[in-house]
Amino acid sequence: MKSERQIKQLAKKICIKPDATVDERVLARAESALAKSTKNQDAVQLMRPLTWRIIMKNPITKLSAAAVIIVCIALTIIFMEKSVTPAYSFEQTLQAMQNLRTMYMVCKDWNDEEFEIWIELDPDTGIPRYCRAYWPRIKILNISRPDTSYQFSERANQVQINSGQLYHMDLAPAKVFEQFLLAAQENPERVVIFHEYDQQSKKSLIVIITRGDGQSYKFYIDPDTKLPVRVQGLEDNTLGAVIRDVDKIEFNVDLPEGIFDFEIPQGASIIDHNHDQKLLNDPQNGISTKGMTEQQAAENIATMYWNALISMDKTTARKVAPVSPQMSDGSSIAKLVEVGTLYIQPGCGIGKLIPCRIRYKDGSLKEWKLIIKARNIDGHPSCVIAGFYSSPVVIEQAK
Amino acid sequence: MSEDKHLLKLLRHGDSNALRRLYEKYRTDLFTVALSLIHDVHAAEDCLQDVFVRLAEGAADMEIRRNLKGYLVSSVANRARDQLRKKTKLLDRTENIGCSASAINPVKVLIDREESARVFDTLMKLPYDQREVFVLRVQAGMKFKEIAKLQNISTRTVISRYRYGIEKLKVLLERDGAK
Repeated sequence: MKSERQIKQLAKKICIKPDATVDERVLARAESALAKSTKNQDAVQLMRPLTWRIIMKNPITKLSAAAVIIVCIALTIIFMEKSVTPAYSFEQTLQAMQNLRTMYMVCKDWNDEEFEIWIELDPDTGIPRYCRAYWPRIKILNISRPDTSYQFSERANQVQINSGQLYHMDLAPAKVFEQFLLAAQENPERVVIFHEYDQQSKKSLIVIITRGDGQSYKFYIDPDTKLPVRVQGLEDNTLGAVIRDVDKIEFNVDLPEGIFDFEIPQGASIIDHNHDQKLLNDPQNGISTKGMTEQQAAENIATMYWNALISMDKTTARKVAPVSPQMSDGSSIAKLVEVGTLYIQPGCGIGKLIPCRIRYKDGSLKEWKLIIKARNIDGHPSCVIAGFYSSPVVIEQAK
Repeated sequence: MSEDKHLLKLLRHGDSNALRRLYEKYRTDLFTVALSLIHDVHAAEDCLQDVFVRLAEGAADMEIRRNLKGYLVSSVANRARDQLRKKTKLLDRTENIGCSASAINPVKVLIDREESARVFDTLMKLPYDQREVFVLRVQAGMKFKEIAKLQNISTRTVISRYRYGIEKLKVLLERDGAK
């Protein structure tokens, strides 16, 4: 095996001269650029005082000139930044995200509803520990805490209490970015990186477009901090993520005191979501998965569920999916066409998802995603359907 | 005053002889770096042209704090990445980016040392990040610190990419040599 020294010596000996015609071409272009540049410089020197006087005489010209100057500056910045922008890699953003403590974001959900989020991240895992999301127009407040979480509708004066966190992986910026990095490594053709001048920050931002199955995003990265400053969702929400766009992100902000506190308002009606958790953890519900792979278990429980719905066997349907009110009967379903492969969805902390294609009696074909919660109760492996992930995707329209 | 500084001063005043001298001085090193990075003769030629056209355009406002060669090599590296992106629209992490037989073959005739030619070919099998660090360090003689600054990453990351690159080269050269 060759030593490092030998390899280096061999590499140093690589010496490739450009072709003589290339020399001619390069020099001709460079000399022409030099001539133009020198000429322009001279012209600028001569013209500057005169142009300035004309501009100042007329307020409208003054404004237009200001605009021209701004455009020129912008172009120069683009030019300069592009020429000196160092190479960018995803790791730089991941690295920058390592020491995040807090975040503040102004976002839009998939209904185009604006909301703001305050987050405190776990310093070890980078996963949100505390989170407050508020939709001002519809007056919905979500407080997510490690112990108990609250969803409060001001209009209905109703509070839903949940045990544990509401938001988990979906708001872990480094984790989400890591997922994109992995996806990009597997399918590099789905990633495009370029520069775009941003009027707001007056910077040439690094723009990354990642295209995936149901999750295509455009990230705007600050070239200095390597952190995202904006994110845009590019297609329909087929995966049920909360956030579509992030219009503003601030990292390591000072959190207002008591931002994650919540006191149940007087007279508010309370829905106890813990009841659902009890059902999901009840060993009587779900199926045993002993001796099965995760995929086999998921396929089995999904098939059981759909067949139970089609045959109106509500007892079995409730046993395998005890908290799935979205579909109480299967009278509109013709058949289960296909059960797909189990996968992890970054936005879902409950369990893995399995896609199921269902043919309806009206001829339509829809894809549902079931959340499969794996359990181990007293050493017995089992699983249960913990619900549907997002709305179904219509694959074929009704005839 | 160093020769480069003197030539740059002349270049600022539009001296085309200074431009020619700088081109003569650095064309081979820069072309070698470009070609080692992208393994495509035409793209490497474009890189070289871009760098010198920019140098000529921006000479008046240019202030090179460090050495001119370092500046030119950095420009080549940045353009090489741009070329790859343009060509493939790929992320810089992609392995074997732009590696097509037609793009590499013309180069072979330009390298007369068989052993070095093998290293040159094997370089293409390194992931781009490792290849870039190796080429900038070994062929262009840049310091790890300078490469870190250029790539905007830590010196530790640069060193680790370099290490991985060397180790991979050793294995690949051994494997290919055994065939």
